[in-house]
Amino acid sequence: MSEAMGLAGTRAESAEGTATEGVSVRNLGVRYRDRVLLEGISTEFRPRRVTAIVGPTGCGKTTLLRSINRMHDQAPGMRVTGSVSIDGADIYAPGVGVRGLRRRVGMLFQRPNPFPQSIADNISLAPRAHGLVSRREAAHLVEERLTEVGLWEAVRGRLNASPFHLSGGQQQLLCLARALALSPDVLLLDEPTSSLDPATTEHIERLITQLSERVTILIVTHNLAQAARISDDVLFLMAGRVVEAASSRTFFNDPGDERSRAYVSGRIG
Amino acid sequence: MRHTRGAIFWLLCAIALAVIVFPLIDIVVTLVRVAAPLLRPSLFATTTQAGGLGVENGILGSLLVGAGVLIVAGPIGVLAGLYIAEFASGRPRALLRFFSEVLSGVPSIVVGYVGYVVLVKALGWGYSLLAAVVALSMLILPYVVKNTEVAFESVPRSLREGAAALGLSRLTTIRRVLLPPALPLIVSGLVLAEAIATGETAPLLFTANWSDLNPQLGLTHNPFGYLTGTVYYSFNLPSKGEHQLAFAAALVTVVMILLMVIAGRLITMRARRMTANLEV
Repeated sequence: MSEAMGLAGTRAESAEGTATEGVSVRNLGVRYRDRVLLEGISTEFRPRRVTAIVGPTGCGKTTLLRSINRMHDQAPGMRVTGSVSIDGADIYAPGVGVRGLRRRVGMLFQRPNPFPQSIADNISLAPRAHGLVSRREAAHLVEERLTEVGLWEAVRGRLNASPFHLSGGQQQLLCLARALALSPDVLLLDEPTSSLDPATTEHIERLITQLSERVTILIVTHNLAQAARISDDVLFLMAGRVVEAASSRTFFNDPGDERSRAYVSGRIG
Repeated sequence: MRHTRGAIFWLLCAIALAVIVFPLIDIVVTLVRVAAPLLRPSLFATTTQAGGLGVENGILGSLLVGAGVLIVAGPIGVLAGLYIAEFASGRPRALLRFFSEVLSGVPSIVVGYVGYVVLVKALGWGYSLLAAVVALSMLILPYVVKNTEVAFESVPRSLREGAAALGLSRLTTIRRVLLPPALPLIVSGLVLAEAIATGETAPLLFTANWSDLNPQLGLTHNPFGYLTGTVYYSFNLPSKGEHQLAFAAALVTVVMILLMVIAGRLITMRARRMTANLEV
């Protein structure tokens, strides 16, 4: 509990500096060659809230998520139209550095992907590369972030060991700590618990709730129960379009669209 | 029925293993048997000068060429492979790959002859270490390039994505994220290249010629000896001692290559420290 308090404290400081307005998507379209993956997506992701992006397989959930840190940039044949703004600034505007953007927008993937470096270096690599911390501060940062995700006690004796001896759940926590080491404003979570056991899943869900005090969180999930548990808002996509954007309470109890009703009740999926 | 098939499969595997292992054992046993009278420390302290029965000049020459090839072809090959894998795209990439593949198909004696015409004669380097190193480098470059290219391309995509998502620069990504898992394959390419360079004869006949003396200072205009040359020239001489020397030099060559492979393994094991259990 005292940890959470500490988090809230640092949170307040950084929140005052930047008036976060969340993520705003305007008429976003994504095509791969001549296939339409997303079309006419317009929605707001409220700051410091957890928004679950749900929908049937292949509806464009992950594509939408990856538009928000411009992960499509490197894929040849991908074309993005429309705009995505974070704190009011268009991230697709000319002159926007993709590396600076990704420093502020962290991402966690479906399967843990720690780097082939020591556990400590996994955390400190990116902050050091971005020049955010000195070598000495890095050691402190490592402990801070590992403590935050609840991994410190388990790995404090083997910070210089390979991360690949950790369990899958621990590796995912390490990846979360790695993303948090850059103090992102936005976290993109792409089915982060789909390969994990129930206990770790619960742990990560608790962390997500805690983190939403200071970070805007977008989570793609196939698990509707999970969405209901942790999200403030829900964005429901089908076939590359928005069907419904609503608060979780509304979406799960009284959805406005017939298709949402069918999806929530399990009739489509 | 299933039992019989399984038995046949295992029999074939055993035969395949035998086909690989027995010739190697036979080679080593034969070499040791014939070379036995010469296998004493003085073998390594005697040159072939004035009919001397030793491999000193041969070993020194081979080590020099090996080191030179590592210095020349190592960086060029690794950088070219890295360029193909991580930077080039479209036509330049296809072209580089094509040239590298063609180069790997050029017979070593042709490389030797071209080395003679261009390096020894046209450039006027004479029979020399420089000419030999450049010629052998051309020969082994494709192996280094290909291994490096494959090494980087086989790094799991999830690692690249993880690095990209953190806003890491390309250079940091290559150095800290891609290189550790790629290193074992790169090193094995270099070891293979060194082994080939140590075992080659034809390009050296054309570019190093031969010397019974130990290698002299000076990169150009200095013919020198090398282990495979000791084998080649001594084998044709009509004396029992020379005949034994050929076998001794061959044995030393095989042992040197073996040591390189072991060294490569050790480097690889160290490099794997952080990548063990990495799912590829």
